[in-house]
Amino acid sequence: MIASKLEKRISFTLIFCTILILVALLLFPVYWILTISLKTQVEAFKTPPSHIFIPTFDNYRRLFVEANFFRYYLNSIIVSVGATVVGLMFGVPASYALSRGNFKGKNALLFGILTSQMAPPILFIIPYFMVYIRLNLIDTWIGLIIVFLSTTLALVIWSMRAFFDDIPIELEEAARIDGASDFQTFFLVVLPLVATGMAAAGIFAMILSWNQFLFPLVLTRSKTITATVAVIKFASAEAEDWGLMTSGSIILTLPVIVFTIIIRKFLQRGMISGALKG
Amino acid sequence: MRKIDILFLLPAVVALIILIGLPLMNVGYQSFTNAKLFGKSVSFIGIDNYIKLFNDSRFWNSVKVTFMLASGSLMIQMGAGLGLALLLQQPYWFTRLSRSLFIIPMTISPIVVGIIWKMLFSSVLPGINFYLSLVGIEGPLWFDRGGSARAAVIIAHAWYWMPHVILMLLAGLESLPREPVAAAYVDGANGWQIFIFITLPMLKPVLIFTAIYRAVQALKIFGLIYIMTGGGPGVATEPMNYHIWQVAFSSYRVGYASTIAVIMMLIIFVTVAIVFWYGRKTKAIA
Repeated sequence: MIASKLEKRISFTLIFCTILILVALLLFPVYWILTISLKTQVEAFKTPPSHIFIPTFDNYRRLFVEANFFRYYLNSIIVSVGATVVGLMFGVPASYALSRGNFKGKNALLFGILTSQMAPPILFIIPYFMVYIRLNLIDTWIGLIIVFLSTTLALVIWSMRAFFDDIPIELEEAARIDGASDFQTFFLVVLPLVATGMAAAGIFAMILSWNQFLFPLVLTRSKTITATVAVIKFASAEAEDWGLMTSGSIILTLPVIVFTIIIRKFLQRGMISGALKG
Repeated sequence: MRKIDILFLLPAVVALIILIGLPLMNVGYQSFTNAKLFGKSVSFIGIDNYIKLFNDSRFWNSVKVTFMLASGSLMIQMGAGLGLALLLQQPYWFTRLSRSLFIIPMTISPIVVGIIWKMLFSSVLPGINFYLSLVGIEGPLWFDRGGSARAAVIIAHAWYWMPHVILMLLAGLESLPREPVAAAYVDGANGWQIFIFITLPMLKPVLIFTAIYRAVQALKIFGLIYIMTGGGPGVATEPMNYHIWQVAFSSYRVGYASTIAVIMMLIIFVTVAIVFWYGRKTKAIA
């Protein structure tokens, strides 16, 4: 604690430089793929790689014009938003009940929801596939939204609990003394207080759905192919189109990075405090 | 139980039973049948699948590969994650600012992570091997041999998930009481001693929890394998998850794939239980 000014400055510079180098190293793969997406095929394969070059957006033009990527992108948006909205509608009230309610089996239920997320998606894909064929849900938005719900719902319940726990119970008691019913208290007093938490949990659930690939890979055919599956198709052995693979990857990743930076603060809270408390 | 609780819980619980409970039960049932993906006739064959599994060398190979990949990745994740968390915990403006940047890898789709690293390790593009040659190392053809292919997958996986370890450990570090550290300072302890004798023991529960959580996730590795190696060369990088995928969707043996899935869940569960039991015994987990 009693460090001289010089010592402080040295440690400041040292840590600053270390972090700078580490960030550069960690994000290098992302930067590297970005440069490849902006190069022509010939330039991309050149050794040593050029770091200063005239960027070409030809790969992106091909992605949207020839490969019809926008349609897949739209599918991804629809099913991610759908799974998130339904997940919030079912999950937020349930999470409130699990935070405030006092009943037998509450902890068992929470534990069950958490352990269910330990099961690998591959386990679910077989029964879902067989049921979907019978119900004609293959290659539909609804089908994808339903299967995504199996992850978003659990996520919303767990991450919202921490936000509900944080609200002082006195607020709700005061509302009740003023004559509000349980429902009025929830909708008029509690819900506005967790609005940011809901936004964070929603974005989190959306990113999770956005990145899903196994379920759409098996459960779509042509109409509802998502952006992730489209990128897989660019990367499959017969095609291996580097230009489309890289530009598709960048476009797929862009919104995720933006949203992550927005909810960074909450990502930490929702995920960990909820888990550690439980 | 209040009326509002029942009303609020019911839809979610019903949904979870339908979405998660029933499929899991179905897998359990299928594991005792000879069901095919597109077949009509399904018959109950008792524990035949389980007996077959015990003599299936490809299955045991996938168990081995799963643990090799998971343990390799976990060690890097935890080691590097702890170091970076301690660094990012320093109270400077740029450490707070750069935290968002450190998180980026874990938010990317597994598909994209697989593509990035497949290309970086590829021999035709100027990737890892080019940068290794700059320091005089001749890189191998990564995906041609089992060992180097596994190494490539482990590096990609550790890069992908280390940010999550950073996040969890940062949360853990911030929740620690400050008094013990201050007291040690007064008593003349240096930074290293404080870390070994004060911070590390206090952080132990969080470390173990993080390790368990990350281990469970690592045992489920699939996406990177799907994109990077396809389980190859041969079956050198074929973990349990990918093996199930092959059995179910390449050879259409749904019944047998379900059996593998049940055993895989059991293996994950037992692994977690052992770590948990050990944590309790050593009083690291309250």
